[in-house]
Amino acid sequence: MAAPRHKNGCTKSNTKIKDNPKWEMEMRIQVRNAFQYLVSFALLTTSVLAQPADRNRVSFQIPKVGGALPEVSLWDQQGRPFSTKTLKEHYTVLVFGCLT
Amino acid sequence: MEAIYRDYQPKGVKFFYIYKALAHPGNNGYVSPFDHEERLRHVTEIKKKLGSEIPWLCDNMSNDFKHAMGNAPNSEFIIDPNGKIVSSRSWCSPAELREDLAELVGEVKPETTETQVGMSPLEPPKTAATGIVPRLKLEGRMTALEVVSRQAGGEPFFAKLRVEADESLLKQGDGQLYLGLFLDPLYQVHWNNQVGAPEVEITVRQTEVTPDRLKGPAVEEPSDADPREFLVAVKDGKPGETVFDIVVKYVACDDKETFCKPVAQEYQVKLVRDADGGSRRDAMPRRPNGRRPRQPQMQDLNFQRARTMFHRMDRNRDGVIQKQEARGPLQWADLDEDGEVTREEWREFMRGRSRGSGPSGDRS
Repeated sequence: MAAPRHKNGCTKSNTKIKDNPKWEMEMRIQVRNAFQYLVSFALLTTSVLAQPADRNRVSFQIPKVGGALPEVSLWDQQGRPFSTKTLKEHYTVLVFGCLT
Repeated sequence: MEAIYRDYQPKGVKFFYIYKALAHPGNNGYVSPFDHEERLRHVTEIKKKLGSEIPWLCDNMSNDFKHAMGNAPNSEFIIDPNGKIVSSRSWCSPAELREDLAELVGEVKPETTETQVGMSPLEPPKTAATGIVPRLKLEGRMTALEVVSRQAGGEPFFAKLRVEADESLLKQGDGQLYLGLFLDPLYQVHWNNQVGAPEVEITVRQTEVTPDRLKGPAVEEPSDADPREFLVAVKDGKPGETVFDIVVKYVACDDKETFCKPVAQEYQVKLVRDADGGSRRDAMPRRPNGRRPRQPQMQDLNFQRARTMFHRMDRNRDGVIQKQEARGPLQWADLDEDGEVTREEWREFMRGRSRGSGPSGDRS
């Protein structure tokens, strides 16, 4: 009996699997192993990438335009607490600097 | 910046300088503050000396704002009335800032000039004599380590300890440890060389430190304000784990000769890089001709040119160059391949060009 054909003309090979249970078992084991390898690799990669950022590694990626100003507690020059969330209702220019 | 402030503050624009951790401790004679009160004293000092009218905000001691805004030493941002960032520069550019503000709130004519502002340059604080005790000559690059000071007896840290490690110590646990005792000019104190030299004791577990008891040099001059510097060898340290307990003993005398008191202060130093520790310019290794290595930003990068080119291409002023803004192929500079080029990527790209490396460097 001719094997059924896909739309693209390829012959389905499941006839062989049905006819050979041992081969079918081997195939299933191989597929299962390949799947396990893939899952392990994905988990390993994810766990490595998901490591908390090294706090001693300085990032020079400044915030991009369109983002919200981060909310941080600072002091004003008189030593009073100052929150960056109050920087609204006006255009505000912020320039980082120090004495050195 | 002061001129722009005078032009745009009356138009409702608010300006703030943000005081952050020192980029180059030792420059202008200032040392890194240990607490927020000392940071605020620095702010007062800079305002008084520069005659600046722009108000300051002071980052907290965890440096949260510096970290949140990208850690650049002299970055500049414009925030709109909704709290959104509308302009973002990793290096402050007054000319570009003026252009941006003209677009956002309107042009100001005539512009205030620098001469009209008449600010005075920042001068180093007045201290006792310096240049008496020779500075330590360091061979390689040193990196600041995390230092925790322990307040004892309520005395301020008249002298502040700075600890640095060479690359080998930081990575492998064997190498050289630098200890520098810097007098803080905020307290206007000096070393009284007639009452004895400062001493340092280092205690550490399962790590060899040689020597572990240090004493400053005997100095003939009765007083001075030079740093006292030491270099010790460390063996079997564990990067990220080893903790050095350090006790510093010295006699602090104020410049007005109103007090002279013995002080013992404790520190814990971890064999971990302090990302906010900055770098000492005076510690940069010198070239054979005696000059310091060229600054990569200004020479190797051709920084000014790179910045101007970026500004020209970034026509919508959003801080990145998009495909439609680029004049040529964007992919060479788009290092993270996200379809746009940030200032940092552009700088890296220009650095590659100036070194003659990479695709564009090969062409030139």
